[in-house]
Amino acid sequence: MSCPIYDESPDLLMDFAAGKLDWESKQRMDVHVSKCAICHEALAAQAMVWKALDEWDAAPVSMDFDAKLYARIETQHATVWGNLKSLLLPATTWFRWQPAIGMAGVGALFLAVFLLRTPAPAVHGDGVRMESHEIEQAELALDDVEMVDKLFAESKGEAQSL
Amino acid sequence: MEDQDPLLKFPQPSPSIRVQKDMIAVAALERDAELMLRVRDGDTESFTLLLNKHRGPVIHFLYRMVQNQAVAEELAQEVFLRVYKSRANYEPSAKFTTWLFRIASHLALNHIRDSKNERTQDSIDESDDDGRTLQVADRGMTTEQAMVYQARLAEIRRAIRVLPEKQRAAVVMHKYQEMEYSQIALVLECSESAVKSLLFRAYETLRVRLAHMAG
Ligand SMILES: [Zn+2]
Repeated sequence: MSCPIYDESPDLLMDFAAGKLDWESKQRMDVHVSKCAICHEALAAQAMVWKALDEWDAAPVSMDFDAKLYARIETQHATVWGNLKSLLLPATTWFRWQPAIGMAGVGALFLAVFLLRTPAPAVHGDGVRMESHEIEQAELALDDVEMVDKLFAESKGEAQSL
Repeated sequence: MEDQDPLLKFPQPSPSIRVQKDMIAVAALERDAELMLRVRDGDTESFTLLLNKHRGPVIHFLYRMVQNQAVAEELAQEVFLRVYKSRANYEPSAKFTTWLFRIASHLALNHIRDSKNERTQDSIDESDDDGRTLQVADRGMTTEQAMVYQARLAEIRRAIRVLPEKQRAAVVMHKYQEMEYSQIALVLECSESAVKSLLFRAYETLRVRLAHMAG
């Protein structure tokens, strides 16, 4: 004994059990299932499976999920920022320890970015030639730093308002 | 390593393509893709909106795949981190949720394969599962009811767990995420008929394994 619907269109039974059939298809399946022992049995079993799976709820999400995610994004940005500095200012790691010179370094960074936005490859004071993909990378990294700052300012604001 | 991940690769956009232009292309698509384009353009609020909308479904999907809440949340962190990291190259070539669940299922399937040799099925059964404990507490059951419920739940979880990974993913997406066959096919990168076949075989196995729970 076989049934063409069970053998060739089992999705009809799955959709029927899931209540996903449109009205017309449902009517046709109702008629068929009332006459076909194979589909009748399969449908009852599928409905039982569906009901059993309904019992399995998912747990609530941890309260600190977002905070952890933002922290990971921040860590990633710190890395991007570090890479950016080493890309643009390879010989100036000492400037972090000199606040006044550090400010000058920030100015130099913006000047460097301004120069990088020119169409031709830029040549820097240290003689390092910047390839176009490095320019894009530097610009993207700057965008990233700006974005993550905003993201964290917003998340801190939300946390304070709670 | 992540640079090699094919999941994160999009057709490379021309530098001249701007958000406004993409907005026209995506207008008929969906709100999520529009938000993702805004994230690409530096709008942090849109990333938060996407996270708020999809955090639950992604974690619930991963939880039912790996059956451990802590691991599910860790994998979900990775999913959203990858979404964020790949925003600069985002192109709305597919539905956002398809892309999101493709990343999630890829990570889940990898995790399942990697951990297969590390843990036995029994050790998974005996693991502390805060999700299961919470369900009992929330349902206000007596001790006896809780024990019966725990036993049923353990059987359901085991029945899902012993399905081949792709069948498991297909069932979880079909049953719990209520995805259409076409979307599951896109997520699992197979044909729609292959998805129907996966689901049919999976439900057939579940019918046998859970048959004694009827009534
Ligand atoms: Zn039939």
